Amino acid sequence: MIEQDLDELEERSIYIIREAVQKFKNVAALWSMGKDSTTMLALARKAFLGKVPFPVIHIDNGIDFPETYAFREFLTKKWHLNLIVAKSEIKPEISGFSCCGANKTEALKKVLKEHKFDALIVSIRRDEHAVRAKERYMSYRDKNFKWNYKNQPAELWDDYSSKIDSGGHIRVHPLLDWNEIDIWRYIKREQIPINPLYFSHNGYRFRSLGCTHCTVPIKSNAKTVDDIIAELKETKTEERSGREQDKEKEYVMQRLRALGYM
Amino acid sequence: MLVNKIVLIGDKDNGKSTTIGNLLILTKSISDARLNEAKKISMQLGRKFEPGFLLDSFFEERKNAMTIDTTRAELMYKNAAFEFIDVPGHKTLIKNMISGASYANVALLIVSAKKGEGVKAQTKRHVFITNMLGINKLIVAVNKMDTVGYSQEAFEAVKSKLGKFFEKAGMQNSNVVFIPISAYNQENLIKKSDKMKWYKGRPLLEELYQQVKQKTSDKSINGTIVLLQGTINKGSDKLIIGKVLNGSVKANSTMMQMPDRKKVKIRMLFVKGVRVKEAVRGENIAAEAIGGISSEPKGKILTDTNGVEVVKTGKEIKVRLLFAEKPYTKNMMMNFNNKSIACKLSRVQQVIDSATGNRLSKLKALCVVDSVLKLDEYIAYTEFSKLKELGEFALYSKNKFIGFGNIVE
Repeated sequence: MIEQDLDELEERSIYIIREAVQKFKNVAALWSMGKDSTTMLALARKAFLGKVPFPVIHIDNGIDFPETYAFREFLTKKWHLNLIVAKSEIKPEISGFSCCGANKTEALKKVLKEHKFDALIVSIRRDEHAVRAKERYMSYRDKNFKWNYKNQPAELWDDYSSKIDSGGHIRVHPLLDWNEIDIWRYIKREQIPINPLYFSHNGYRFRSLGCTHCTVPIKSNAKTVDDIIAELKETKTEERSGREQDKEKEYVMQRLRALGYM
Repeated sequence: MLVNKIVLIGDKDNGKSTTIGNLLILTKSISDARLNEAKKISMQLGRKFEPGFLLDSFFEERKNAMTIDTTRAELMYKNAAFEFIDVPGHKTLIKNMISGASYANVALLIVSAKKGEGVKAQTKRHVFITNMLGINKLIVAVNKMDTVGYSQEAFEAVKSKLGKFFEKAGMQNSNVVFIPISAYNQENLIKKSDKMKWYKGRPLLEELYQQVKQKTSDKSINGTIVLLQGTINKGSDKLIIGKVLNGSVKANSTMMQMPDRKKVKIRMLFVKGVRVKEAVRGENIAAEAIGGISSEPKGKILTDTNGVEVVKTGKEIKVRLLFAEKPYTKNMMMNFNNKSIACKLSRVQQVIDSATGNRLSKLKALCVVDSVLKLDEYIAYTEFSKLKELGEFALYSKNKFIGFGNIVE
């Protein structure tokens, strides 16, 4: 796993986050309390002199881990976050594609409409998934959340000044260039508070966090950020190997993203 | 660690994605899960294993064995990190090609030696485009050598044909390295192929490694340039924000805002949320500024008080531009310094066919134009040859990407 220059990554992300706030009227960010979106909030604090200037949305299906809820309360207080909890319904009979698609995406649609958000900061990374690797830094979703991936607009250099079609919203991806190991190196360097589920407990830890229904931990003895970095240097498995959603069938991520999933 | 960004260019079906796919496999940079997925899909589609499927992740790309949009993948070789940028070769997808290529610092041209393929319009056009994007390093891999019996003659034929084009297009080509490969069969990608003993050079990845190891003189100009992005609130105060593109900016210093030539005093200065005395190239700043700061600073430049010696200002500028599809003469928006400015062509000097390098008598789709661009308002800029970031722009019309260009003077 390639370790990139953290200062360079950091500056690019700060630029993109600032640009989003300059460019759009009503920006919000998704916050899953995972390592990536928490890192993004740390970057936003740097970009805006210690304060996250936009609301953060938790799509809450009610079945996240207790540690995740506790971490949410802890950091919201510590960083004075403007937290919006968007409740999504969970139906016991559906899982995976239908669960993330129907429940989470629907809840997101509702909250965007209600608050009239025109841009949404989402902390996806290119190295997570080959379909996410096809994304732009700023990417349009129409009012039905559709991602027109077969005809994405041009995006050159750091130019985000083109106009946006009205009616939909823009997904902003400030962490697109970061690798998993860069996130952990940055967490270490900046001492960013992190959800305890990432650290080993009884020989297991979560490498990628979803809800209790569809995330399974990996075997690991990594109890500290340093341990995790060391583990990632050696790993041959995929970051999202513990995510049921990705395994169901081919092209699940593509179908989910095309329909507006994050 | 510094990541070298390599864009693969060339016509469709010449093997760009296959080359990257096999480089990832050979350097063990891909997980078993992703490799198995690509194998499984290849089988389902009734094809031999397609290494390109490691990049082409969309269902539609795989079904039609054709890259639609740009993507990137990383690998380590020896002590160097590479990011390979894959782009589509199809003429209709040129906006995606330009989008991907705009982030690269090296271009690797993949051109097929197979009968009926070879040096085509798109091959040459991609070279033209990367050249205009300021990518000065070009390496050529002559692919599909297996289909011509690994013959040196076929290799030389492609080499000579391309050489002629380079000359015609006015490119420096004497130091371009040509490497014969078979991407699918993994010949000459990392290990020297024993099927082409006549080739005395290095295999592909080794050549890339040697080339990126050579230090290029990082072009810089004298003086400070800060591109302003807007303002943010700090309590009840407004701070300006921007990015240092050149030189450095100091707290408690006087600077000049361009293009309006207003003196501005910078007091407190912040980088990454922390108060600093000085900010350097590449850093995003926030600053307390007093004086003639514009109410809409976006797109303006802060420079030293002898500003006119650092950046130029003007509303009629000489440019070279490329139209991605059909050409325009007016009703264009120039996206420059993160701002959109209305513009039109005036005094077209020459028109060049990007597919041949020939001069044309009038504008047409995908042509290169040397012209004066007339803008609706003054801008601060530098020549592209001096500072890339302040000399390149994209063109839009009705929110649609129509091309890009460089400021010549």
